[in-house]
Order: sequence, then structure tokens, then C-alpha cells
Amino acid sequence: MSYNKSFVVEESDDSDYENRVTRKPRRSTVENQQRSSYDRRNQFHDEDDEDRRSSRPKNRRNYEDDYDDDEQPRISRQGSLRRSGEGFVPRSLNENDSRGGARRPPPPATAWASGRRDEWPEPENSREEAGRSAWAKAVPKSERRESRESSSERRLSRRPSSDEEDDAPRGNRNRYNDDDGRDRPYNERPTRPPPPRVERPHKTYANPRNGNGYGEEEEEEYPRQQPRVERNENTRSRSGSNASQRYPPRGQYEEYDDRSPHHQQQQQWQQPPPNHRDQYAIVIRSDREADLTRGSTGTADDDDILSDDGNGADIIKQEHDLNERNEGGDLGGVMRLGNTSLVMLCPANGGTTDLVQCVILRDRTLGGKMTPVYKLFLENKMKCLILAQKISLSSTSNYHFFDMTRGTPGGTLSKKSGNYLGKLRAHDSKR
Amino acid sequence: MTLSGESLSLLPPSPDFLLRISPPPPLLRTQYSIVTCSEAREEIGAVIFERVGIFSQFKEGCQPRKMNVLLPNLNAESEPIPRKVVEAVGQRKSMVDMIKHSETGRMFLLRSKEPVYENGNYRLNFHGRVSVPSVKNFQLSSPDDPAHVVCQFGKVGDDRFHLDYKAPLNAFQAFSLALCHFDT
Repeated sequence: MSYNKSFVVEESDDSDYENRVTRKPRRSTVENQQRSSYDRRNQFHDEDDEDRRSSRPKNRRNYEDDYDDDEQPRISRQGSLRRSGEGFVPRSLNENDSRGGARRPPPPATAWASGRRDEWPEPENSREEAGRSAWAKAVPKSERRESRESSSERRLSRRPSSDEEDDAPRGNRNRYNDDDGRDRPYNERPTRPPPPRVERPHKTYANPRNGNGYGEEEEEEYPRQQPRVERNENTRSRSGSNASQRYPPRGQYEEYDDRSPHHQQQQQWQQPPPNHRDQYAIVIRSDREADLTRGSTGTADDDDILSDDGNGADIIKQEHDLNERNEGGDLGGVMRLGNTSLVMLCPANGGTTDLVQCVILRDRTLGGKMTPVYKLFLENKMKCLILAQKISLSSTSNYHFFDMTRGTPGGTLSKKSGNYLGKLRAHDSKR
Repeated sequence: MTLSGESLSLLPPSPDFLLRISPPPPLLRTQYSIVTCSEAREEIGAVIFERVGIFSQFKEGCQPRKMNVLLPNLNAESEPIPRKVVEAVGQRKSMVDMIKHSETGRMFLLRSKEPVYENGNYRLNFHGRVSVPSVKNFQLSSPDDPAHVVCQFGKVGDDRFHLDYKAPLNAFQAFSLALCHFDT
């Protein structure tokens, strides 16, 4: 429960209720500012405010009784303070002491501990001067309050003042111990010389690839991750010194001219390379596999083609995978069949390979129940391979197939489109 | 039809053509051929369904279909070699006729695997790929090695089916075999 400082309870009759609670005027703001922050927290330390001191709660110990003028200040073992109401009360844990609190040896007498702030030297460093609070700058030390001769002032002098708090770092607000073990204020702390420079060898970068440690003298540069590409006029790069001569500036459109070098260069890129079939490598197959794929010139082993011969084989993937696997040379690469569609290719060596899994979806909304549309999807990537539609108004039951791996055919399906595969024709049987 | 001095032509689009008899019902469509898009009629597969007698249907009930598939050989590029069909006398026959006369040669002949009859149901092991029982479900294998399945087709939902295939079939041929069952 917070203690309202502005109210003072006086003994009076119950009938006189109005006089029971009287309000005392508050201190002026200037007076409050002149007091230190510590004083503001512990307002019962002020000797002038006897009324307030008398109106303290009974369970709260007298703050001044803990610190007498002649005796040494008593600080608890832990040095912590118990907060009671508005102020801090030192916590005592020593059972031997009736008042509580262990006795500490007095600190060495220093100019700072004496509490005489007038004797403190003014900071010369402009940085320290800037760190001081506005109050400390406004009110010089000579004009500050000098009523600190009691024990309370001695105790208070151990606590950092407002201006001292601004100067000292938060870690140790009171003092620091130099190498000699003496207590010195922070403004008197001597500056240490910079650490000596350690000369290190020139090549200190570690190459993780070669496993070199730090500081070794090897001059191996970090290798380039990709080989440099020689750029010439045939490359499509837009960088280089003569880029402006080779390519028109971006954003500007030149007139269409067949004689311009830019147009001629584009035409060269659009033309297919000669002998495109020769650019693709051929998989070296065993003799057994060659017999399986051979046509009418097959050997006598064609009868047991479907038997398991135990040879491993690769399943021909889609076109974009085929390009990735083309590693060049005679040993690597995948067969490429020019303009042959993927749906016309058979998986190689059907002995040990697994079945190619596909999904067929029937769509009766398109064309109604009489002419449904069937779509074949590759289940692994759900890519549409073939689209089949039953032809209406036909004497024979015919299905037309369209290749979907070469793009969508458009709105209507026709035989004249470039992705027409063929048809399934039914023969009328005779009874 | 009126009598006139000119010869009569009963074929469409002749003006004397009046009526065309409707095609046979779907139950009798048991022969299919897979034709490519080339100008010359080239076949890359043929399918024939074995007919089931009416008496056996009454006696044993609805039975699974039996189909025979004939596929051409493959070239060095794993493409089926299309076969030209000439219907002239003394010339090449169609692949359907080759199945009928058992003149397959070095082509691939496949048959549907016969299911096992257990507890009043016909069963086939689709390895988890088929979940709905249907007369359209089938498995193709070589007559010499029935355990080696080359193609299987089965129903999974109302409008969803699973089709698995491998060599010597390609996607076009396998898809055509599956569509044959929708029409029969």
C-alpha cells in the first residue's frame, strides 16, 4: 500500500472529522530538484521533516537509528535494502546484532567518501562534462546544500550523487580500484596505454579447401568456383567494352532492318544447329539390350524377350530431364530422337524396371456422356501426356488421341493440329 | 427409288442413298486397331476380345473379359515399327487378322491374365493400385510367363483409373488398350 506523503494523521475527536486529516503543503519543485535522487527516495532522512517521521508506520524502523553519528554504519550482509513504503530500509540478517546488520570495516577515507563535494576536483575532460546532468551543470557545487554533517550525510555520501551517477558507468557507480588497490573516483582514473601491436604474417587467410590453418605462409589463392567464360561476339552477353556497338541500348527499339548486324545475329541464334542428331550422345547398350530393340533383324532370342535377364536399365524420362543428363562424350548421355514425342517411346528393357504409373481421368462434362474426354497423367509429376476424345456421329467407335506434352492444343481439337497422334478404330464384327 | 436409265449408286453421297443401317451394338465390338496419324494407314497395335457365349453367361454368370493384344517390334530408338495395312487381295493383312490366324511372327503377343476365383469373386493382385472392383480391370502378360505383368489397368474412383505399363508398351498403346474396355 502506498503511503501518501501529503496527508498527516493527527489525533482528534471523531466529531471533528474535518480537522482530523489536514493537508500539508507540498515542497516546492525547486526544493525537490535540489535534493538528490536518493534523498527523494528516502524522504524520512530529512531532519526538518519531523512530522513525517513521526507519522511513519510503527513496523518500520527508524532509519536514523541504524546509523549513529559515532558508530559505524551498519550495512546488511547482502547489502540489500528492503523497500518499505516510499523509502528503502536496510535489511539486517545478523541475529547477533539486536538492530540487525553486520558490521563492516570503514572504507578508506577519500575525498569522495568524505562527503565533501566541494573538495572534489572539477572534471577536465569535456566528455565527462557533457555527461553530467543538467542540474549538476546549472547549480555549482559551492551553492549546493551543506547540511550534511550528520551521520546520515556520511552514509549518503557513500552513495553516488546525481551528477556522479551520470559520470560513472552503471557497473560500478561508487568507485573503482586501481592497480595499487586504492579507491579512486572515476574522474581520476588514469588512462592505460594501448596494447602493443602484434605483427602477424602477411598471408593469414585460411583456405578451407586445402585445410590450411590460420597464419600459414602458403600463397594459394581461393580458386574460382566457375571457370571463366571467354566472351566474344557470338555470346549473348551484354557486357564488355564494345557492347554498345554490338547491341542496341536497352529500352530503345530500332527499326526492323534485315541488313542490321543485330538482326543478322538474331537470325543466327534462331536457326537450328546443323546435324542436331549428331549432337546427342548414344547410350552404349549391351548386346542383349540391342537385340531387344532390334526390329525384324532380331536373333532367335526374341521369343523370351519378356523374361527377366537381370540387366539394369534406365527409364527414359521426360524431355527436360533428358537434357540434364546429357553429359557429353560417348560414354554419357541419353538418347534423343529428334522430333519424336515422349509418348511414343517405350521404357527401355522392360525386364527389371518397374511399371510406369499413370492416372486416367474421365471428364464427362465436356461433350456430355456420349463423347467423354479422357486424359492420361504421369502420376509422379501429374503431367498430362495424352488427351483422348470419342468422336460423335460416327459409325465406328473411334477415339482420337492428342499429344499434350507439346503444349495445349487450344480451344478445339482437330486432326490438323500439330499434336495429333492417331486414333483407336473399332472393327465391326460379324456374327 | 425410281427406275431410270442411269446406273444406280447406293453409296453416299449419292442422291439415291436414303438410309443407312445403324452399326452393330457395342456388345459385338470386339476388334480394335491402333492407327497412327500418318497418311498411309499404319497400325501399331491390335486388340481382340474373346466372345462369351450366352449359355455360359447364364450358367456361370458375368465373367471377366479375355483379350489378346498384338504389338509390333521396336526399333533401335525404342519406337514401335508401324505396320502398313493393304486390304488388297494377296497383300498384307491387318494385325487383327494376324491374331485370328495366329500369325504373329516376331511381334509381341500379350494376353490378359486370368483372375483367381475365390469366395464368389474374381481376384487379381494389382499391388495396391486398384481399389474398386470392376469388369474393366485387367492385367496383361506374356502367355509364356503369366507372372510377369506388362500392363495393368483398374478403377479407383468414379472417373479415376490407374494405368501402369512398361516395355514393349508405350504410353499411346497402353492408353488405347485401356480405352478399349470403356467401349466394350
